[in-house]
Amino acid sequence: MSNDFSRQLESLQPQLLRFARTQLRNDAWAEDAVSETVLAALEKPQSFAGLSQLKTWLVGILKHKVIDQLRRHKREATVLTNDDNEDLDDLLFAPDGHWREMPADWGNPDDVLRQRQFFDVMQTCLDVLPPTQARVFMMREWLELSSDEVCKELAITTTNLWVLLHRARLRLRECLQAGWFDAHPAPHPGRSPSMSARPAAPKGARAAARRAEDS
Amino acid sequence: MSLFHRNCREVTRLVLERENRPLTLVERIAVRFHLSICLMCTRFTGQLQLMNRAMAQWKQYAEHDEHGERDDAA
Repeated sequence: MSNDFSRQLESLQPQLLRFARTQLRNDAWAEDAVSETVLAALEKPQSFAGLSQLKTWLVGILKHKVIDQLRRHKREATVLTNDDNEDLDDLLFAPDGHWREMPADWGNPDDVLRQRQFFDVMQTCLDVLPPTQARVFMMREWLELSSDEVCKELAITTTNLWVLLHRARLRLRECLQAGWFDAHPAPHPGRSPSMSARPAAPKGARAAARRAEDS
Repeated sequence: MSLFHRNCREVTRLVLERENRPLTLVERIAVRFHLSICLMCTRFTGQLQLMNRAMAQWKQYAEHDEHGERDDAA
């Protein structure tokens, strides 16, 4: 066995562990999944053009090992907290079904998603989701399992799953609002520097362009 | 309440549910109708879309963070 291969495996281990932790939300399970992944890789060493190709291959193996862990621990993996039982938050809506607070304008997604720090905040927000919500959300988003597959693997009902996914998305939204968008409000068309520098610019057209971007 | 009139809470639920299942035709019309007149739900829907794109990109971020950049040229 080439020393190189072992060293590459070792160098990728922290990243594999982070994926596994975000998905499993349990350090012992995550470590098991990663060691099984590394063992599987050692059993059939292959050569890759670069680290990133090796990593893609390893992540593929890791996903299977992570599903094995979820299957093995499904009862503990689906323990619910109070937060998991509410569907839509009463804090969000008044009894008449209206929003209590105006949702913020998050601006142009292209501008937001270009910023690396945004993803640091996002990682933190994923890490603080209630564990069961995080697990099902990541099963859909990272493992890319269908709703039916998630229900089958974890032995939960569709209704349970939907409530958990709704909660996860609302929690993530809340966390991104507090952790990113409160500090980085969408630039107001009338107040951006480029607008004040060119006061004669056709304001209506710009506003229309902005609306088109938003939709 | 008519078939096509839903309040913000119900529309929010439908917008979340369409991540899990295809909406019925009546539901789709109700959502579009509501979004055409409601800035609040339109903003919420935009937030969800941003989160979906962010999750797709998060995988890249997590894969490439060692190199200090994501390949977001695509």
